[in-house]
Amino acid sequence: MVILATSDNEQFNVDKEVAERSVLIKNMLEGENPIALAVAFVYMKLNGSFIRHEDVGESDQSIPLPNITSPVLKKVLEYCEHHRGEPLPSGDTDNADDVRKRTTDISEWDQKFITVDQEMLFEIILAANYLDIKPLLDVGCKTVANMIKGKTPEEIRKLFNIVNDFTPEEEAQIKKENEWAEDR
Amino acid sequence: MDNGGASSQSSQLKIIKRIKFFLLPFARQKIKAKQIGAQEIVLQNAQIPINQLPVELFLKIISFAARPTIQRPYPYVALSSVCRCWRSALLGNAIFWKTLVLRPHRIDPMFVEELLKRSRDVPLSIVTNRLDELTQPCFFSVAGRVKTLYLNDYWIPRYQDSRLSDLISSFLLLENVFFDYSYPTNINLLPAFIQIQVKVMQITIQHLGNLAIPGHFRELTWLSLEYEMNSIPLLSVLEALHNLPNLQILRLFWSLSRGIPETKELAENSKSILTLPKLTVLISNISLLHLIHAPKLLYLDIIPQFLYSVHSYDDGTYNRLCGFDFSRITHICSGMGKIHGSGPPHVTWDPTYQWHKSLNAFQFVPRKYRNHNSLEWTFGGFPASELDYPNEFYLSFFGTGDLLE
Repeated sequence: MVILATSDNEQFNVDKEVAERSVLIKNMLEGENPIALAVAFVYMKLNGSFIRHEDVGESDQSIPLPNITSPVLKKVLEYCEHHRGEPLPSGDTDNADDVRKRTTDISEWDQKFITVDQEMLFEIILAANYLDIKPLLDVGCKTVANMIKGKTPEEIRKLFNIVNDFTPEEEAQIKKENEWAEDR
Repeated sequence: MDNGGASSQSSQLKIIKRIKFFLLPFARQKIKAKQIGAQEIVLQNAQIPINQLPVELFLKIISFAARPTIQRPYPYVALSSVCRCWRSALLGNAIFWKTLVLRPHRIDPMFVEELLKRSRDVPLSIVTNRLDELTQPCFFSVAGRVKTLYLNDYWIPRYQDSRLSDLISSFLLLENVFFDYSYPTNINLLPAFIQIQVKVMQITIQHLGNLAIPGHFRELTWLSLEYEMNSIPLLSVLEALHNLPNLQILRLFWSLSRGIPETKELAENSKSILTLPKLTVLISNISLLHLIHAPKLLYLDIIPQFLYSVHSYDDGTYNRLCGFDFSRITHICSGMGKIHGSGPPHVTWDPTYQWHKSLNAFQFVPRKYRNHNSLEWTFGGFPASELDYPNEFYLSFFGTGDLLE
């Protein structure tokens, strides 16, 4: 078991296999991420506990996750638990030119899982990015992408509560660009 | 009159000055308030969760949300007009502006220049149906950045050779060429590419009459040839492939079955079997499977000429029965040593489709049925126990003809 400590001081006992869906945690447990270890070290020292390099990975030591709150970690762990045992993505999977990888299809379970309010959605994306859980990051990003797809700028503003902050001069330039682009 | 006019003018000026004196602070205040208001809005926008994401995550979302197509090549223009935050992120990333679609009489040079500026120094993809559009002055300086060229230019045969050669010779980075033709014809342009370009890695040609031409590009790793309403001289296919030792991906299909009898004759002659040592992906009509041997093949997608029949039921539904000779698959699979028998059986099986061993056919309901010429049926996997292919194996139908109803 691995203990994960959130920024709001909650602790989660997690199966190692589940926790290791996170590349960050996996590397920490294997002692392969010196930066993450250093962060954990400083964090725990500030919080009055001490962590030694060789302690990481042992069951009675918690891994601090200072960027993640307990409700978000709970969701992330729900995802990891569901996908436990599945093969982890390998190395270079971020080729922007690869059309196949740009499909925004999301599995049924993942869709249901990610049906949360916007605030939580973006928290999950940030947590997945921090913890380096690429499949979850993709699900989050694809969900936002699907929200954006096919919408006009005005509809997007409405969706995310964005206020149009362009000056009239900028607006004029943008209008011209849009006319050019639509006329192709 | 003049004096009177002058004194009246000076008194008017005085009045204006006085008004300005009183109003200026208010106007300044108004401008300042406006500026503060604008700053507040920018700050407010910056607090919105999506705008608080790291730029790389935001751009990842954008790349999922929109991608340029021939019909809509500039989706990022609209997205960059949501707010300053989005605009700054998108304009700051050259990769979103690397594709230019140039259509005659519809190109605003100012827009092209703006796009070229935004794309900074990244390699460009250019889509055009008039190659001579690239002779515009703004392109001379960037011709060396063209990496991908999609060309469906009916006018190519009419161009002067020297003009073409000059143009093509400046494509120093060119790696991918896609030719898209609507008529079966020889492309006079190709020899110019052959003469000057040795780095063409990828060719997609539709409706090309002369199959031997791609064979001149010995560096080719990807060849995609599509034919419709056009018979295939399979010997030419073999000749072309013979000259492509680096070929890794081959997509070759046609919709008419005139090649089949020729295939059978060629297959009887074992000398006709061609080994493609580096081929890893083959997407082809089944006829070709007789003729090639691909020891490193990892992915096989068969587009068979097949027979099929329709069974209608009382409730209005219908099933289609299709079949083809599986011995043809056996031929290529037996040569695919690295696939055959490697790894545990991993076969997906969609219960919608049922294999009838006695009929030697699949019974299935097509996902889409539009018309005779645009059928897209896909299904994955054979039952390993019945077909004895203990491999992940994918078969898809892309039927465009030869459906004998």
